[in-house]
Amino acid sequence: MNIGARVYYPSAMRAWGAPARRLIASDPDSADVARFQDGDEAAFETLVRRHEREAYRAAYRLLGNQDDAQEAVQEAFLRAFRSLRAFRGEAAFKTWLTGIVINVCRNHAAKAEENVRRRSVPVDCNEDDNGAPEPPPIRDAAPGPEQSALGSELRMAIVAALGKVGVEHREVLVLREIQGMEYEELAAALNCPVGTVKSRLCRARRALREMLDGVWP
Amino acid sequence: MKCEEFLERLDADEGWREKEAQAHAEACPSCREAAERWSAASNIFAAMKEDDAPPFLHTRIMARVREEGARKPFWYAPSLFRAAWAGPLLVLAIVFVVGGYGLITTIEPARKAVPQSELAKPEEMAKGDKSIAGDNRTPTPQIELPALGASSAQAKPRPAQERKKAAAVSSEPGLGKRRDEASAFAPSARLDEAEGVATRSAAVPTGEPEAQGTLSSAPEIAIKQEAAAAGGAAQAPRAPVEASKSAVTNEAAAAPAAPSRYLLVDLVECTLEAEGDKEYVVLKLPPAQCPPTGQLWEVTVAQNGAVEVKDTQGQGKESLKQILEARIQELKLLPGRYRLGRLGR
Repeated sequence: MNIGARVYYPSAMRAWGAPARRLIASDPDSADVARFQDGDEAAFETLVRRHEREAYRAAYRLLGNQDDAQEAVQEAFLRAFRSLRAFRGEAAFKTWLTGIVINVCRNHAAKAEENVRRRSVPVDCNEDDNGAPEPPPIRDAAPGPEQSALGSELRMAIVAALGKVGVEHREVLVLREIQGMEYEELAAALNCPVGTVKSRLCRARRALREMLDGVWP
Repeated sequence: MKCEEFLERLDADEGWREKEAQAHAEACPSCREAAERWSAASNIFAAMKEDDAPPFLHTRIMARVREEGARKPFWYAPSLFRAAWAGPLLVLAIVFVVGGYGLITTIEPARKAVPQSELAKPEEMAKGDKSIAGDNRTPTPQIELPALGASSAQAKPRPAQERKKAAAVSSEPGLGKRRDEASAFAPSARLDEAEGVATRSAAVPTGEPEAQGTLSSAPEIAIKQEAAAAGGAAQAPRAPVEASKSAVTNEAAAAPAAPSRYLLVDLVECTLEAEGDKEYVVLKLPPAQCPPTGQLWEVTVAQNGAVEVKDTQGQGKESLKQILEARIQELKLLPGRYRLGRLGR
């Protein structure tokens, strides 16, 4: 009977923190992950240094706020530190970390939305059709001086549109267009099938294109 | 190609750069404009990839991580099982195991050396038959077994309080109350105790000389003879047994410097209880003459001192009858019916 080369670890062993060493061979982080799981905590700093910028960019584009993004990235790496010993290597570390960042950002967004709802609504506040106040606009804090006026305007328009599309659409747009992730990585990070990712991405682009129709010169 | 199909391809980011789609875009201004806008948006997205992280982000992340690492519970720390901890923990475990074993082996012989302290526990008697041992039973005083044929002065002295209590009981009128077992009860004689050896055995000489320290160095053949002697005691008449015991005593008293080889006979503690009474006497009998555990044999003492012993099947026990008849005066048993049972241990 050919059972292949897979190693099965009982759940009891995994509960005690024994990682299943099935790290994918193409993952450049597998060596550092293995070092950390063997007890070398310094390896985690290497992983942080390698992925902190991308994690921050994703969090910043998802939350639209530098402070919230920094807080979210710290929280995400903290969660990764806690659970990396049980990381089974079924996906690349970057994909796994992106999933954590997305979950943290969802929690932050939910808290921010709750805070907005609890806040007293001013008389001149913009309200949508349902009477709910609009979420705070997403700001772009990094327009480069080298950018042209038109480019800056378009950039601000795209950032504003990103803040207005739904959370699911914003997630796939950020991860695909800004982070440059493949469909399979997106599916793993968002924990959904590849087909769902593609259809969701298609709807997100259409929504963004429609929002930008009035902005283009 | 229609505009809807082109826009679908554009939204899916698949195939809108193909020749067919590009031909449609060249011909359709709105689709061309949409494609140009999306290309511009893609460039802006690409520019966003270069956004830099704020300063000190790495420092802040690692500060949180190190704080978390310092807060880890002790059982989570893998260093607990490393060499720094494994050595002392292993030594500690060995000390506990060895120390505990040594403590047990030290205490156990000492406990066995004073078996009388365990003889009079009423709760132990209840193991045999609950009808015997009611909650209001009066425990028997500790019974001291004198040496075989030796005078009471040679036996191990009892505590003063215990002697006083036993004397008071013995002076009570009526049915045989709490009493010590008489020294003439042959199987219960213990030469070894008189010599300061803490075992519950009867010693019977074989006539062969042996070096000092007989009990611990008794050869295996002696143990086999013991079994044979114990088995034969159930059928043999009482007198020869007592005669041999007396001979042992005389020999031991006369020539203590040249000890003989002894046969060791384990004795079993039994209780003899008057029917309807709350008191009992503890006897020591050879195993072959004792009731099995959990059984009660009926003992009847007639007015003339004759004893009748019947087991649960109603069969008489002649050897035990002879023993009890020989002991009846010393046991001070009054006429009546008794129950004989093994003292549970």
